[in-house]
Amino acid sequence: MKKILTVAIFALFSLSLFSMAPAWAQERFSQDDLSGDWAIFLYGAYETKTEHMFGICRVNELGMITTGTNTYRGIDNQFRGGQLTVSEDGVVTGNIIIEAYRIEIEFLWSRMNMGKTEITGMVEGQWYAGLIRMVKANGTPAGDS
Amino acid sequence: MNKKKTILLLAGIFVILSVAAPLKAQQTTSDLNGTWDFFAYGYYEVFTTYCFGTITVDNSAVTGGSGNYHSAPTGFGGGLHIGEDGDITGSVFGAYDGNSFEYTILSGRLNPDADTIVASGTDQNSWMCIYYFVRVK
Repeated sequence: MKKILTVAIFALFSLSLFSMAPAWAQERFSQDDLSGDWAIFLYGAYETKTEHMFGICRVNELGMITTGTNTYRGIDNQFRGGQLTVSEDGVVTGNIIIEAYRIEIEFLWSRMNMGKTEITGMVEGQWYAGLIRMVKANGTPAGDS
Repeated sequence: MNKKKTILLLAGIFVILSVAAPLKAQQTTSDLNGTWDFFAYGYYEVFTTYCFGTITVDNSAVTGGSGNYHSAPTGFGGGLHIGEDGDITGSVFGAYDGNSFEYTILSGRLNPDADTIVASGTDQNSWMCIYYFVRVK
């Protein structure tokens, strides 16, 4: 009985320690993690020019931007394509194309967070580099919605 | 209730509380240890500054990393510290093409998942900047 009790306490203690481990401890990424609706926020400025865009786009399981609307420098328009790729360690590369002036927003260096609900990065916009943030519109990682 | 049952009951309560209640432990500087992607962006009048790359933090010190200051390759140094109230301060600096830069972190916060830091500060020219740190590992 004493042995069983000791094992039970050890198991419970181990379980409690596991529950305290940070969520990012052993996270890996796959292309599926990009799928879903993402709210996008872009800001950049260069001399007298400003890059400013916000909107929501839908990304499929291949990372392709399929639909969505945005406002670029005050102009309401559509997303017109592009594709994103996420590496196993969370680096996001690719581009997003919008209707206004058919601008291609190219990702220079970006990272998905361990919770798989945010992408932060530096991009090249119409004129210059800008800071981009993408947040999962429903707040949950792909597959959890 | 005998002694064994009491011990088992207490262990069970401990587990339930650990799983059910988010830990409210104070964030410490050791929470910053690890590898992070660093993003800096600032604009003042007609001037833009930006920087991105990967840094390694160990015991408050930025011990290495590499990336870009604007389009030029750079390495990184500096330090990050969390105060008792959770406020993050410090700096990230580096050199490029024979010049140097330094981003001062005046105030920042680590999110509860400890995978993202958002901060504000200035660069070496006092241009106002926003910073993001995203945990890599």
